[in-house]
Amino acid sequence: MSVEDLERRVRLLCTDELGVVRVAEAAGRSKIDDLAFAKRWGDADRSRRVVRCRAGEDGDGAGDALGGQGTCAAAGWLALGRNDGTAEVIDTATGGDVGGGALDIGGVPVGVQVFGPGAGREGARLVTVTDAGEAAVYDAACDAARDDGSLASRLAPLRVVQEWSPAAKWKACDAALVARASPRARLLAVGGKGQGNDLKVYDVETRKVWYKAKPPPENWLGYRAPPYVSAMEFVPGNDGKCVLVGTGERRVRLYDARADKRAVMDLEVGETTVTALALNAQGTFAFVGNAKGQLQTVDLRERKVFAKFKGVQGSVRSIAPHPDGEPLVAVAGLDRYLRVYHTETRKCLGSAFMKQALSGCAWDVRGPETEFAAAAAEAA
Amino acid sequence: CRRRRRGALPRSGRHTRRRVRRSFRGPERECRRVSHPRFLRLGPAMGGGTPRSAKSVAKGSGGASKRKKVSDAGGDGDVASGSGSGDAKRARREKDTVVTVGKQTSGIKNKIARSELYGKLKHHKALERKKKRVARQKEEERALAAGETPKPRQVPKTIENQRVRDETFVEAGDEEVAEEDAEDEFASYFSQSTSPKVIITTSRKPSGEMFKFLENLFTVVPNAYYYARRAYTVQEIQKHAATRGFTDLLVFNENKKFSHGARVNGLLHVHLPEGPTCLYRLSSLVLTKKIKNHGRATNHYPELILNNFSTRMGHRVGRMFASVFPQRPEFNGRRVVTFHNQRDFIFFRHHRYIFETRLGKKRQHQGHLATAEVPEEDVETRGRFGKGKKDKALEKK
Repeated sequence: MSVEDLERRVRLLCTDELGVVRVAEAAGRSKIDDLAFAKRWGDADRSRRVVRCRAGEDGDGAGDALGGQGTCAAAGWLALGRNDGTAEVIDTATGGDVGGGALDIGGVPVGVQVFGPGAGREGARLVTVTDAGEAAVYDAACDAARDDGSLASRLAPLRVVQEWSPAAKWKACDAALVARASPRARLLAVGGKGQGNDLKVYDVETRKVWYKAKPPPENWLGYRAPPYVSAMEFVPGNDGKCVLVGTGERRVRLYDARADKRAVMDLEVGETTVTALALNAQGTFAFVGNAKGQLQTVDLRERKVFAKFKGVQGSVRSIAPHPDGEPLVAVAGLDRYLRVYHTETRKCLGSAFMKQALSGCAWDVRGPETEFAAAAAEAA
Repeated sequence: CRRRRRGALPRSGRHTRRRVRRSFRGPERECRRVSHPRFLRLGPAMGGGTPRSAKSVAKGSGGASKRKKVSDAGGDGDVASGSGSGDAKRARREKDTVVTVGKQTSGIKNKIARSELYGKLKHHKALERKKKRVARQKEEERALAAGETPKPRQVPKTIENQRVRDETFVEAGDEEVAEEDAEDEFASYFSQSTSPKVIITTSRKPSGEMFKFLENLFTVVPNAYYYARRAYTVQEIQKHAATRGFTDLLVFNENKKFSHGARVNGLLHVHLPEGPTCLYRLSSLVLTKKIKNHGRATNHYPELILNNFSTRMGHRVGRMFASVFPQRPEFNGRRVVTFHNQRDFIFFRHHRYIFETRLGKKRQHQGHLATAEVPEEDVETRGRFGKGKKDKALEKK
């Protein structure tokens, strides 16, 4: 078997309602229709169900010089927030803890994000927000296995050598439903349901409100719906200045901090609460999933709803576009299926029955990359 | 036939060609396929071409092409739609070569002569079939007597048994299902640590029909309480009920149309405090009084039968139904509540059964299930003492 015959496996990680991390694999990009449930990590415990999960991001916010977002060191991490108020970071290759240990964050997490070492920071950073609106930033030193340019060192796993120690804590809002940190963990956006819980962006260093969204104008009835932020993402490529928000009233709004406090774009997308949002790497398209299983793309330049993806039978819990720019997007639904779609043709390339209702999904590009490199080195 | 159904042709009158065989099911179907000699022409374009999977043809053709296949199945038909699924076409062609009685007599214009010949041919056909059947049965008996294994019986193809068991089906001994069941919202009912307490309410301003239905319902569900709906929203009722220790909320909806009176047509089942919510459409409700020779309900806890809840979602829905009833069936009460799931409908029956000894044989009688013509959820609140079908009461075990 020559090097050309080797194909990188396709691997996805999903978290479910029993607190178990499940791995779905396909033999290769061309065999993605054989996507199937491969293995699981963790014990089933409903009280510890995973509420939020997010792939680790590089500290520099753009992936390292040798690879894209998907293969940077921190991409081998998965930050999990569990219902019993703990947050942890696991290794996507083994499912084991990365080194910081489980952290008690004092409430049900609505946002957990982990950042690797990067510009201006030596160690890893973990940003969490609870449903009571308490935001916290934790730091921990990392293993100093810095890459010396070789493939092996770049793909070596990065470990956290300290316990997570709180660097900052403050109350971000009264009741939060979603929280996101911008690339490089400079800004933290929170949003929730009810008056006073509209989108607020904090500066992490100064812990002050950096941007506060203004509600939309009253409609023709003189009615203005109370804020209900149900999904949120920073638009990549704008350095944290643009935030895309999905609301409980079927609206998707784009806030631009440079422009205006009111939403720059306000579209009606889907028929029910927007449950998941994701953006492609360039920040031109947004994937919007709602509680009914409708998955649509919104073209952010044209500011229009563009296309629909068919097939999801339950609420869309999580959307994960491929981190390295391949035209693939993974969707985890409440119907226990993990589906991978092609973003351009909108065909469902593969679906795996994951046996439990899912709550989050993430791509594992680093693991298969490591295997591929090892296999290629062997073959050569 | 098809054109008539679409409304293009008048139903009757000067311009119709009245077919004698309207009373038979067979000819109608034939009519759909080979109503005109022109449509029979299956040219070389049909059978040949690159074979495609049946799925791609079904998807690619769509509704419009389906009609095309049938009505314009001539040689001028689309090569794309025709050449696909060569196997399916070939199979149909074989079937078309079976000369039916209708085809044999369709040429005769004289109605009386045609119907006579038709009757004769049908009778001959019936005799043939009977001969074959008798021969088959004899062969089977012979084989059994000789100790050989008889030929396997033919199994008719039904929509239900064509269903593919996909990965969402619950297999016995599945660990994942066991894990989920151990910790879901209903686990405490099955382990006897919680007992159901049901609150039943209606839509706003219920009518007399609704109360008649509710009277019946209270004989079915043990430990049920009625609260008037007044003007509360479902969220409010949910909150109040949860604080008072109720475990399930059933909200029955009624549609009040002046033309045909009030009709109970919906059920919102909310499992409290935070459990799953299901919305059902009800139809074909039959109250106790309407059933002839209905029995009398007792206060015994009923035995539950849940049929065909075979997929993961079905399993969860089945558990939700089961959590409404106490999990301590009192078999000496001989009372059964059945939920039978079939093709997206759930049939409900509440009945009693009796063991009857006759001629030394113990035979179990029970009310038979709703007949096939009743497609929707059926509430019959009494069983009959009559010849029952194959015993379903024990299938649950």
